Amino acid sequence: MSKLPRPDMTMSGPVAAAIAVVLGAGVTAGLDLALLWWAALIIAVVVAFGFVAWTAPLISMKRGAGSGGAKEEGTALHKTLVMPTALILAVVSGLLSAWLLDLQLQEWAAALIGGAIGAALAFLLFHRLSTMLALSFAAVFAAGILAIGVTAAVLYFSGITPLDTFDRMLEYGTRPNSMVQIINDGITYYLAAVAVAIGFKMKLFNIGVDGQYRLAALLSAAVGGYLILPPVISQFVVIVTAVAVGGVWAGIAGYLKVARGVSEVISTIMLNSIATGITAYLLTEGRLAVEISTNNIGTPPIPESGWVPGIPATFLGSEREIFGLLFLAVAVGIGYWVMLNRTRFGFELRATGQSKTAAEASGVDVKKMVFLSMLFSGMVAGLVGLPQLLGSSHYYALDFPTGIGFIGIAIALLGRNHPVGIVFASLFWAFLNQAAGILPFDGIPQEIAVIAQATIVLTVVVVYEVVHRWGRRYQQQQIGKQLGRTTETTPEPAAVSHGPEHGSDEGDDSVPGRSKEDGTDDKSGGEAQ
Amino acid sequence: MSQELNVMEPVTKRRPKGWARWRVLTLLMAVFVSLAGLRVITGQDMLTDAGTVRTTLTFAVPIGLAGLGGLWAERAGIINIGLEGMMIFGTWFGAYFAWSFDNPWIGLIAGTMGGMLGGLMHAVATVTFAVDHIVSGVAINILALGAMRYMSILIYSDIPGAGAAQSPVAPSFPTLNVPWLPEALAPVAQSGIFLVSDLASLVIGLTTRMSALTLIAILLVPITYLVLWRTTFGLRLRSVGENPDAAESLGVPVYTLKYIAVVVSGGLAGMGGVFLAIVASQIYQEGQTGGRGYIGLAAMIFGNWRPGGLAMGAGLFGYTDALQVRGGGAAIHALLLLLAVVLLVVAVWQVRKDRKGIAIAGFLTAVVLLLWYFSTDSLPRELATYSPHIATLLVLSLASQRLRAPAGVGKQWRASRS
Repeated sequence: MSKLPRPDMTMSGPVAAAIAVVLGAGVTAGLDLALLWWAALIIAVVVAFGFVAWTAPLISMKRGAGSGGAKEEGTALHKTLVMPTALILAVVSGLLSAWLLDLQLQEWAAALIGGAIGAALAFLLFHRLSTMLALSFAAVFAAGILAIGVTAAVLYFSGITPLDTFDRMLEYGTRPNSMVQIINDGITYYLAAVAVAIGFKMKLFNIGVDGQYRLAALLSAAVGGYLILPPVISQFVVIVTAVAVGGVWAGIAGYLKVARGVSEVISTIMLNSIATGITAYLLTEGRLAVEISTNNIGTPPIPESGWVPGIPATFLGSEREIFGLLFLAVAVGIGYWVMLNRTRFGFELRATGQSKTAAEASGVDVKKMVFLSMLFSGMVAGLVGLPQLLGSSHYYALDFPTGIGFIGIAIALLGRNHPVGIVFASLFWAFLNQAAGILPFDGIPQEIAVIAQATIVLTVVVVYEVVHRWGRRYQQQQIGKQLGRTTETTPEPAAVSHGPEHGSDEGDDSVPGRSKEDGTDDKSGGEAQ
Repeated sequence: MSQELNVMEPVTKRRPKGWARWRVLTLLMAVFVSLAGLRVITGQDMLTDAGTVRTTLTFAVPIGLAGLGGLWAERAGIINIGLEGMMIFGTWFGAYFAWSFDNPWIGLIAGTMGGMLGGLMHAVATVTFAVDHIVSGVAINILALGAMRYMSILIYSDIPGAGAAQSPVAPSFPTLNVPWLPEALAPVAQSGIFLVSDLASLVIGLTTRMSALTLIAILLVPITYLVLWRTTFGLRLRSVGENPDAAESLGVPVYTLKYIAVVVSGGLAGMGGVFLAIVASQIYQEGQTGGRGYIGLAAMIFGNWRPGGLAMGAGLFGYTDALQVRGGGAAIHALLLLLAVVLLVVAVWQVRKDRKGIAIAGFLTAVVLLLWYFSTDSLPRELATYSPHIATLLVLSLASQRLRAPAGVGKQWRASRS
């Protein structure tokens, strides 16, 4: 690209972006006349990306890409990793937005806007995508391809054609009713995953989300069913009860950990079983339950004034409703992000998770952090059953969904404990669950979805670890090269680009100006590489 | 690696060596005597009769095997949360191969190898790729559940008596009986005399209708001790778990030992699964493991990462489980009295050690338990079912302070040449 002749001038950022967007939209519209809309869109976004790359040196940006500043754009790592990742991301987003818009608009209009969005993202990502974030995405892509490969192999060796299966799943999973179900399931999974992620950030494994949410759902359903309150107050009381019960149940495990050193893995698992026993005990006629139908007993249904209205999904083409507590999930996600990145408590949480001794040296009370972290994790876990309870079933009965806690753990792992990553992970998980529902009708076992899910968790974790380690070593090599170069030429020490945060699960660069070497943790620290 | 919290108190004086060696035995005898006494006081014969002893073994063995699996892995520094999944592999492969070859021993080998397969997956992820151990374990658990159900649907759909959630009946292992001893002791066991009849019941329970696999599993506990604490291989394996860097500097093949440990760990869990499928029931059934992989880990922690303690932990869990299955809420209710008495003793002991706060707390709890005991007749059915879990939690919270995990457990370790 450096060989193409370039006008000898500078272009301002927004102008280049605007040209890229127009280019994307225009090429899409033009090619759409000749090719399929998605082929046109892909070519258009690639062209726009090429334009952005070509004009990159002309643009003076005030703030450079992610962690390294403009310096990063010339390195080989940027060329081989970040650029392809940015390109793929731009193309995928353009395709997704065009497909979503297609539900409402005409095909050509949807493709046009999709091309524009793809081109805009191409510009944004080219200049602003940090290496670490690109590494994360690349890891997820690579893992996804691996997982699809493994699943296809499993299908093939069971005598089933993989391509047909994937086709069927894709077709069923993208029907309007399926999409509403996916969003609803995704809301529940999201809450569970955030609850687990709060613990994970502190290196605490709250496996007890399952027991916490079931107990919380039962007790809050009982409160809502027995205590008849005016409209808004009723929902509020139910939510507060659920949060309190979840918090208390997790607090037991937290207290045992802090006061007696009991591993929270074991205590939460034991508490899960005990919660099952308590719910079984309470959910009998004469205690908290009444008969709902012939084979089902549950808490008395919450009266209509206590329901949370759903969001009609006609924009997706379906007559079903999306859970109204979607807004609660969004609020929880935003609250989680704000807590982690903008509050002192969140900072101390992350610090304790990454290095307990360093946090202690900075004056953080580790025991208090452990307890509070388990408490908050349990409080969010209590919310998990509420979308279903307040939006759909309105009582807690024997058929209330179970096992969501463990799904939450897997999704938190997939989403790398990042609030936005967990969104995609929960939607993906829900999609697999929903899409596999059609398979038994074709004689294919539904559990292929579970195998796919487990494989992708394993591959994401493995690939992320490998890629992360490789990326860190590369960064260290770059730092070494730069230091070597500048000590030869000038006496002034070179500005060292930020090393990646050790073990960081998010490409968050909110701690600027700190050059960090991972020599203490990396076993090969002092070794020349 | 899970967040480490050090709540250990420094040990100020060393116990006399002679007494320490018999500490475990005296504890066991004290427990036995108090159970015998409880039987006489409450009249609950279930507490110590032969059937309870046999059922205790049946429930304790899978947990003990899972715990041994966890022990082998954690002694080499790898946390193995995936024991549950490896047990599921063991149940499925054990039942399938035992049924299709009509031979339980082939089922045993197949189930063990199935568990080893799970162990191998965990080893590749945690040793070669140095992934977080808990993550890998959780993924294997999810995978095992889904994969085995997938295989069941593929293979068992057309077979009568089997289906997606269970396998056809598998042949069982030979049961062992000691010839004349049980009949001779039967009248003594029926007599009801304090301690004598309980001892007789214990002997009868241990010498009748014991499955061959139970004997193998019981023998694995001292074998594990001998291998890990009395051989060079075991010493090197434990050193890898305590300080892999130091071990590496001495030329110990760290990666190889970790691999061996995790694969053996998976094999042991698989064997536990085979026990569940072939001995405890006759079929593979979905959900058969019921969290025993995790409870095995709890038993291991309770046993301070040693086989003897682990066997005691598994025995505790198996006993409470056997009691609630055979005697229901009434039998567990009797244990409340025992718990209250134990807490009173502990309270008195803490007063002598001048720790008044804990003493008062213990005393008050004992009083509450006594009130509960005298005001009710039995525990509610649903809670009694989970009394083993409550017992585990109680024991862990009361005993955790003196426990010490291998120092390098959970470390995502890479060799220094990489």
